Amino acid sequence: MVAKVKKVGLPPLNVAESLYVTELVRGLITTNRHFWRNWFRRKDTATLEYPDKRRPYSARWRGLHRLMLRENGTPRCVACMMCSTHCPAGCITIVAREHPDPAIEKVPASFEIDLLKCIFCGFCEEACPCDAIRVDSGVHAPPVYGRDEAIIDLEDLLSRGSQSTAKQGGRNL
Amino acid sequence: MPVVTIDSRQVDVEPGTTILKAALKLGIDIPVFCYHDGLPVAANCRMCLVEVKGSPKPLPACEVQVRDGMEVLTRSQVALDARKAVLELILLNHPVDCPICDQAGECVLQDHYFEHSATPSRIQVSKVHKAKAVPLGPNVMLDRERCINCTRCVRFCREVSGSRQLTQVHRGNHTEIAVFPGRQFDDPYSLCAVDLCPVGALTSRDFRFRQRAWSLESSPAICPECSRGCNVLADAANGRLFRIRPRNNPDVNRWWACDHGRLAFRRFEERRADRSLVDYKPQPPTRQATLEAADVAAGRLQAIRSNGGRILLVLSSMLSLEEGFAALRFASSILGEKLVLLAPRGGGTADSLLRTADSNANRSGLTRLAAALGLETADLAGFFASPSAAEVAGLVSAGAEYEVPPLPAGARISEAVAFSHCLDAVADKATVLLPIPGHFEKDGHYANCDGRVQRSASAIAAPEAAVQLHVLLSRIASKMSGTLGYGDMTSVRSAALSLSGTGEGSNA
Ligand code: SF4
Ligand code: SF4
Ligand code: SF4
Ligand code: SF4
Ligand code: FES
Repeated sequence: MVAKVKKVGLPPLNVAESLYVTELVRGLITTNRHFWRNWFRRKDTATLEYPDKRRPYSARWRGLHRLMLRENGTPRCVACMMCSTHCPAGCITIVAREHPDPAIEKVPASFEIDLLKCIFCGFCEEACPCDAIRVDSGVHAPPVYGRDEAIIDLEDLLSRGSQSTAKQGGRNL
Repeated sequence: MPVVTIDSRQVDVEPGTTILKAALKLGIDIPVFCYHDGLPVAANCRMCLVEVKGSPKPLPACEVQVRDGMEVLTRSQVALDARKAVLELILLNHPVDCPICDQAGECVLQDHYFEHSATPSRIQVSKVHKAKAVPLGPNVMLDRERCINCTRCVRFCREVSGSRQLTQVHRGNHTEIAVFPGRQFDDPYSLCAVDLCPVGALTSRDFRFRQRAWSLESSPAICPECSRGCNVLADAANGRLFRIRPRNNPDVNRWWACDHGRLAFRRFEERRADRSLVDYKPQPPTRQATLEAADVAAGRLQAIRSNGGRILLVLSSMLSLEEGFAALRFASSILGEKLVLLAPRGGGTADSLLRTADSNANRSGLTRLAAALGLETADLAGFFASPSAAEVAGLVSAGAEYEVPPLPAGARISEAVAFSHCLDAVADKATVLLPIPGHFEKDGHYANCDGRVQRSASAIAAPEAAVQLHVLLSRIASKMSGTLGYGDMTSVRSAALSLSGTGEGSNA
């Protein structure tokens, strides 16, 4: 079905509006009303004194991804690429390499997430068979000056990592 | 002829047919692990067990031959239970480390488990563990835990490649695949064992961990590494080739292809000509720049022609019939030559299975094409050594990878225009280099050592600056105030194929 597009123009200004000064004064009245109301009666103030006061986060807030660690501090990730396969945004790029310990066998050589593409859905976390990636750090995506800076790498992901209590698969299961 | 009833349907088959083949005739699929069309029957995995009326036990369909009046049930409770039990046994000690297993996604064990078992393991004790990531040879890695002891790899080395390098050692739970002490698995066809392995026990060391199987897209191509023209699948992802696997063609290569051919594809990435060069100076990597460089080449060739100079075509034996046709036609109608110089690639070694000593993909096809167009052919090196070489003023080289012989004594070659996909010795000598698509980047036909014409499909996209040879040649022809008459691929292809004769039993 083709959506119908209705074009609307700007409503024409009346004489008072077109004078500019009247509208400026009206705007200043509104600003002053809020200013003095906030000054004397602090009940219904819409703004918070950030960063001294903060709003509580929703329990569902995820924040940046992190990569979890084994007991010896090495990444749990085995570069299986389940997360990158499952990611609806296609924003995870993993390059795998051989691990010197054949019992671990495979680890990521690089692990990159493009935060500009990520929709923070958490599918990567659900797809991971190793409890290696989590989207639960609560950290905001940092502001960046260029698109390249919005790609976070293995080191950054591991820096937020911690030990998982889940048993890692493989030997003696 | 015996008539058998399989799942209450009757089929009439040759005496000596196995139940598996008879069922296949009816379109009934029986799951297998150890059976392979190209190997002798071992019947050791028991995945193919079916119920046969009157037999006290289920029988392996891959081995048991049909009798007249036999009644087979492939989906009865007995058969289904047998399959489930076999899978439970195989999975008893299987590590199931699919996340790090390269076979995942194309694993027969995964598929059979989902279809015929899908029940959790009941094992209470620790699994038997074995060595992982054991390099068996230069190209093959073994994971002993994942092996299901189907012996396909052992039978391949014994019966097909004849190297007899693999064997089974120990017994029961501890059975392992091994090479003889002090030896390694360096069979020139070792990667075929990787293909045959139904699980991730044998993996390719070259492909290992580079991509997951499901991210690859396969295109039916022809291996360019020798004149056998093995049918292969070129697996690519994100515009790059990752793996070459044989594609079954009963008349050419059956299920096999040599390691050499399968691993040679990376040379197409190395030293890729991704922009044109004019007087050794790189031009922008765009299609437009290539076309402009072609105009420069046309002007210079025309100048030689108007001075009465002789320009010869050098044709690489690696080009497709389409490219060869365009180049040969250019030589005869634009350069006005009766002679073309064939430049074959050297360095082939024959083996007893498939590989031939001729390392050219299309020598027979291009020779036939030249003859059909009424052109004489001479060998490049031989011609350069002859006295008539001194008359040549310009060269047009189509294709690459041949050895450049020493220039003829007293040569006054002022222009060498090369159409090439790579920056090799030929490109080093070219005054104008025009990039064309490489082997896996183009759709083309090749005639193998037996004259069979086969189609190779493109698997990846060519770099932006690479332009098809017939497009460049028609442009140059029109600038040299002539016409090639074959500006589009359809007409080039039909002319090339009708002239070269698609040959007996060709799969063009
Ligand atoms: S949160 Fe969703 S979009 Fe972001 S990386 Fe994970 S799967 Fe991809
Ligand atoms: S984070 Fe998890 S799902 Fe992603 S590659 Fe690593 S182990 Fe696999
Ligand atoms: S061989 Fe198959 S079942 Fe076994 S670990 Fe590999 S993918 Fe999984
Ligand atoms: S290594 Fe593979 S092909 Fe060889 S016996 Fe084991 S499972 Fe079969
Ligand atoms: S396929 Fe028949 S026993 Fe293995």
